[in-house]
This record gives sequence, C-alpha cells and structure tokens, in this order.
Amino acid sequence: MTALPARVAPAATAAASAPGAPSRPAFPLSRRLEGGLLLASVAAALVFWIRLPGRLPGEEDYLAVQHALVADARPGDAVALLPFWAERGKLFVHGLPVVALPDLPDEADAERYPRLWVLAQPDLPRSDAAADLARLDRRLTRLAPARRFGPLLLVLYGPRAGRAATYDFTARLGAARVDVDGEPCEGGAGGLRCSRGPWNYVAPEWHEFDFLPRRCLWAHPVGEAPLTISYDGVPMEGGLRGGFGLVGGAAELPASRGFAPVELAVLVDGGQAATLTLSAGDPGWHPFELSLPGLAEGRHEVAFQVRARDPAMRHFCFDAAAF
Amino acid sequence: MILPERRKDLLVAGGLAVATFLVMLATERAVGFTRDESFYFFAADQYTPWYLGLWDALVHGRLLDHFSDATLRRYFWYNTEHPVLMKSLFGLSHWLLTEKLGWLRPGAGYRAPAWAVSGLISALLYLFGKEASGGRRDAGILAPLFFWTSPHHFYHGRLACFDMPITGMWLLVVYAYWRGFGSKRWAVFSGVAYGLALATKLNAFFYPAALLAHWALSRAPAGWKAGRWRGLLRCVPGQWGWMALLGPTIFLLHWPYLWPHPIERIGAYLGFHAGHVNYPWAYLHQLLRDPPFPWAYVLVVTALTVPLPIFVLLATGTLRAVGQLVRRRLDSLHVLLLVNGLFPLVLISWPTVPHFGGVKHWMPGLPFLCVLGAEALAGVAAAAAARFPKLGERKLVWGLGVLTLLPALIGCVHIEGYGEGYYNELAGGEAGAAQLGMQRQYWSNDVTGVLPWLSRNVPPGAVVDFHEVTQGSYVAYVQNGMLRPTVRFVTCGGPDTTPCLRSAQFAAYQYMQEFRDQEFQIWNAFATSEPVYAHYLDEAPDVTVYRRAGM
Repeated sequence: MTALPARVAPAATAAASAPGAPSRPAFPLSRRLEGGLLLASVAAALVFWIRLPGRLPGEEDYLAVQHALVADARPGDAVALLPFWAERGKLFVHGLPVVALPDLPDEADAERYPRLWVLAQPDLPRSDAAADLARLDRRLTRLAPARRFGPLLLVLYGPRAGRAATYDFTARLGAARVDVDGEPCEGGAGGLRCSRGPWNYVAPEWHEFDFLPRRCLWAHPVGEAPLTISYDGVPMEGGLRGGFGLVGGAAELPASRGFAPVELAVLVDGGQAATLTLSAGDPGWHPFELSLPGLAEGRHEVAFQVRARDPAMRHFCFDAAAF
Repeated sequence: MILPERRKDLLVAGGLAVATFLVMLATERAVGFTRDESFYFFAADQYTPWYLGLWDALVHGRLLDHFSDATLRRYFWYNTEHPVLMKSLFGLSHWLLTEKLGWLRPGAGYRAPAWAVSGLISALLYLFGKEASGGRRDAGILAPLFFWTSPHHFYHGRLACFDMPITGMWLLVVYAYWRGFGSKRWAVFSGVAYGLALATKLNAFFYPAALLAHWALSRAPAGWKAGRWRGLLRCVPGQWGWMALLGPTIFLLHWPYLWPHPIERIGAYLGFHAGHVNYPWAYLHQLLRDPPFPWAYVLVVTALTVPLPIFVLLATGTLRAVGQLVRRRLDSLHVLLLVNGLFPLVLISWPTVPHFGGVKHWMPGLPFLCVLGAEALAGVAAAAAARFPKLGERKLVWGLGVLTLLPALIGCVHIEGYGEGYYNELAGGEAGAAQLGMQRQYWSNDVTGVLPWLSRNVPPGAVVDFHEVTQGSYVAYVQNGMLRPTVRFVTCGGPDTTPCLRSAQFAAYQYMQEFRDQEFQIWNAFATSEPVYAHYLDEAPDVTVYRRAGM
C-alpha cells in the first residue's frame, strides 16, 4: 500500500493526551450524539419490523370479512376502503361496488348507497383510516358497532336523514332518453349512440380524474345544440349532487388556445334549476351539490343538457344522484 | 503462517468479491426481467455473433469486411443510445455460460457480468473502507455490507443493466485515481478505468467534476501557496492526463459501430440523452413530469429508501466529513470520498436534470457514503471503547455493526424480488410509501408476482395484456420457465388502449400513478372492476390481474 496522509487524530485520543485530561478519555459529545442517534434508529427500525406483521391482515382476516359480508350485506350496499389504496379487499367483496377514494368523508359516494360497509386498516403504517372514520362518524350514521377481524375493521354506515341518494342517474342510464338537438339516440343501459360520430354517445364509463377512478356518463357535447339526457319519475326531495370533468389530456387544453368551456344545465320538471360551467384548462374532478328547496313532493322529470360553443376535444363526463 | 498485511487485504477483498458474486447468483431468480434488461438481452444477442465471427474473419481473410460499415451496422444497429461494453459482456457471458456450458439459465447467463462488477464493488469498498479508517479491517468489511444490505442496491446488483456497473466502474476510477498519487502504474490504470466507465454508461462524462472538486479542495490550495499559477500547474494530478488520453481512446475502441463515422455517431449517442424524455415519476402525491423538479427530491428519496440505521450512519459520517472540511481538517482521501459521495446526488438534484428512475441515477455516490458511514460507526465504537475499555473496541464495532445491519437484512428478505419498491422504516415500508404517494415500481419486473397464477389459470391460447412488460421480457419469462408458453402476449399502452384491449381476455396491470387511466380502461373494456388476482406488497397494490367479464 502506498503511504497515505494520516487523517486527523480521533477526538477521543486527542483528549486523552491533553495536559490535565481526566484519567479516563472523554467520550466526545459529537460521538455520543452519533452513537445515540444510531441506537435510536436501530431501535425504531427493529420496532417497526417487529410490529409490522401484526399490522398486516392475513388472508384469514379477509375471509372472515367476506363471511360477514355474505351474511349481512344487502342488495344496494357498497364497500369503501380505508386507506383508499389498500385494495386487497376487492378480492374478497365479490359483487359489491367498491369505493376507493382518498377523501371519502367529503365524497358524494359516501352517501350514494343506502348502506356503506367501510373496511378500514387503521393500523397500517402512516394510515389515515382512523382520522377518516372519525370524519365519517360526523357525516354518516353508524348502523352497527364496528367489528374487528385481525387488523381489519368493518364499520357499517348509512346516510343521515334526508341525505340518502334516492336516484343514481349514472346507474339508471337505461331508463333515460337521450337526444341531440331533438334527434333521439339509440341503445340501452350500456350506452346510447347518437349520430354525430363515434364519440357521440352517452354511456357509463370509468375514467381517471386526479389518478382516481370515477364512474360517470360520457357526454361529449356536439356544439351549441344540446345533448340532452332526460329521466322521468325521479324521486327527489333535497336536490342533486355529483361531479364532472374533462377526461385525459383534454382537461389540460387552455382557453387561450381556443378551447371552449362546457356547460351542464340541470332541468327539473322543465325548468332550469342550475347551469354548471367547466372552464377550459381546468383539470380534475369537480364535485357539485344543488339544493332545491321548495321542491314539490313526489317524482320529477330531470334532464341534463350538455353543450359547448366549440366541441373540439371536450371529452366531458359527469355523474349525478338525486337526494 | 503469518500473511503480510497487503496479502491479507487482497484475500479479504477477493473473498468479499466472490461472496458477493455467489449471493447474486443464488438470489437472481427472484428478480423479474426489467424492461431495460429485455432491450439489452436483445442487443447482446445482436452483438455477440460479431465477436464470435472475429476469429473466423481473421482466418479466412475477411477482416476488412468484418470491420466494414455495413457489417458493423448489421450487428450493432440496435440500442446505439448506450455504449456496448456491458451489453457485449452480457452476450458473451450468455453464449459461454448458458449456450456452450449450460451452467446458468438464460437470464442468469446475461446477468453474470453485472454480478462480477458487483463483486468488484465489494472488494474496492473493503480496500477504500480500510484505508479511510486508518487501517481498520472491520470498517472495511462493514462498508460493502452497508452498501449491499440496502435493498435497492441489492436489486440493481443482480440486473443485466448499467446502473450497478457504472457504480462499480466509477468506484474503480476513483480508487485507481487515489492510488495513482503514489504509483505510476495506478495513475495509468486510472485512465484505463475511466475508459471502462465511459464504455459503461453516460454518467462517466460528468463524474470527473468530482475529481476536479477534490483537487480544488485538497491539493490546489497548497499548490497556490507554493507558487501561484505555476504551483497550481505543478500539482495537477498526472492521472488527469491518463484519463484524458486513455478514457476517450478506450471508449472509441470498445465500440466498433463508432469507427466508420465517429463524430456523427458519438453525436447521435450524446444527442439522444440531451433530448431524453422525462418519464412521469410519483413523488409525495405529485406526478413529476417536467422541470423544474424539487431540489429536495434526491435527499428525501434517499432518506426514505436506505435502511434507517444505515442512512443515519451515512448522514452522520457525511456531516462529520463536511464539518471537518469546513474547518480544513479533512485529509485528501476523505475529501475524495466526500465529493464523490455527494456529486451524483447534487447532480441529480439539479432541477432541470431528469428525475425518473429513482435511486439508480445517484447510486454511484452511495458506495463512497457507505465508506464514510462505516468509518462513523468505527469512530463511535472507538470513542466508546476508549471511555469504557471493558467493552472492547472490536466487540463494539461488530455489535453496532450487526445491530445496524439487522433491520436492513430484514428489509432485504421482506422485499426480496421487488427491491426497487423498497421504502424504509422512516417511510413506513411499502404501506407508508403508498400513503405518501411515492413511486413504488417502474420497470415491470414485479409482474413475477402474478406469473405463477397466470400460468395456472389462463386458458391455453388466451391473450394477456401484460401492460408495461415488454415482449422481450415476456419471451425471457417463457424461456426461463417462469411462464407457461401457451399464455399469449399483448401489451396495451398509450392514451387509448381500448382497441388493443379487445384482443385480450386478461390484463396484468402494474400499479403506477402515471398509468392509472389504463387500469380504468381495462375496467371499461372488460366490463368489470373486480380483480381476479393481485400481488400486494404490505397491502399496497403492486400488480393486479383482471379477467374479461363472462370468461
């Protein structure tokens, strides 16, 4: 080996040889801090690994949840996952719709179903499930005590009085009439095709908004002439809620490049209840809630009209439910 | 028999190298074939016949034809955006170890040269670590252990890619450079090593800046004091000359494709990287697409992906060195380790430098930081032993070393096969990373988590949309017995996958933020959002399998 320049002497040795030094060499503060930090990190890391298996559910836990749902779930129920990304539950809740959204307590989907089973994992590292459950407690009603299956927590919720969805327009497309400027579109529950082009149809589809799944009605505007989706006999007491947005890269296209806003007009019993506008270059999902006080009791005719001054790249999709 | 110190060092270094190679060999099967590996396998298969034909061409007097532009283009046309040293080694290794000798499965045949470089890293880390810690063998051994028990490094060490090889080659350059201050032979070899680094990956063009920084911080001040400009000139390391001479020469010589039109083809090589697209990359719930990228990205990701106790040692060792540098008490070797440790991190931290790929792009700095980390541990142990002699310094070093390595080893075992998605205890593991909105996979190799299910459950002839898996990786899985050959392949990518999905009955979606729209397109096309099988890492979705409704 080549002779190398020696590094500075370790502080401990230097202290030991200093005149008047104590008989025992010093353990320098910096080294004590380093050692303390190292031991603390080792302890924290080992605690993490020791605790981890107990924080992760096993297949038997999911199967127990599955049995509970098979026994107690009713048609129309749904399952929500907390945290939203912990999707393994999907493998065990066959047939039930799954809601997997990060801000569940603020979502319209929390009140879409008559009963919502929340499958929560509050023990997962960094999980915000406990906080979300507390927020859900403020918005919804617990219909049964929470049940634990290992680290899994199953809580049954229902909407508060007057908040339950009474009609799901996206799910009930088969009952709708669709026309473009009076010209009817053909089809059924899977979708209705109109005449202006392959893009000119209305259908329930999954689309990505802010990296999250939204089931919504594809309703590409054709221009100033309205694309109208009409429903008869809609039970509605309080109003409408839902959301809308432009799909994919179309959402990024700005008004400065000539892309037009999209208007979604809501008509109740023939009268215009509201017009919602989505500006060009405004990506993401845009939730809305329309309170309709003074609505007459009984069933109503509800229509949605979609239009845009220029329909180019207006890949519009909306979701709505009455309550 | 008492061995001289140097011989002992070579034995330990060699032992570590062999052990590293064997560990890679024993565990490589767990790691799926990455997208890039599939490209390099194909490239290797293109290049190998040219090398094998050299002797034939010589014997039959066709050497000129063998080196003609047309011939070189025929063999080296593919993947000209990367130099060919490692790809050529992958191909020749596969030819020898798999085709001729039958010792290794096909994938391993390609990968073996990368393991050899991994072994070299262990050896060099030992030698550097021992030297930096004033001759402590224990610190020397701990340095490679710290490096390899970081699951990201262990993952990359087994791949037939360039990220670990460039890490090894740059370590070799710096080691030779350091030894070159006292040895002419090492000075010359530093030039050879630099040529090999240039022949491995583009990073090598940038890293000499770290050597310049070392000179400016450790040697130039004395030179300036001794004789101003003339003094500065006198203290310019001779290694620079060898690197300037041999580096480009070896780079040019190693790549026959360049020879007929060197300027044009080197220009195209560099031009490709100058205009490289920025792949989207998830970071704390943002999808990084375009610059400027966050300054703190590299630091945050390093803090969340190196096992926590090792990260603490790397950080304390680095901070101690920085403190000593500021106080002008840091010797030349430690300045060299410090600047080479930090330079790759600083380079990628630059907001306009592409940030996709995660830790692999600043991995060449980590070996140097591991040396500083091992030394930091030895320093703590030495100081504690000096104060409490009964504890015994060696016992303390190994006791602390084992404690430091234990969580890292648990992490390696826990994430084995999917190391590119490892997040440490600070992040909260895979679940914590999912909650934090971090990128957890990117190279499609996690599909191994669902291959056995696909092999068992997909009807013969049914088509699977393999999402990010390339056709080359699919072929490699079939060739290596990891997927039933009657499972047919398609990959549906792009903004509208619907037409492609019509041909598929199954889809194996790899969970990445940038591709979430494609998952929902599968739901639409298959008329179901219910998975039939999935692979999870600590509950975080990794690869999800969908089956067309009604099948």
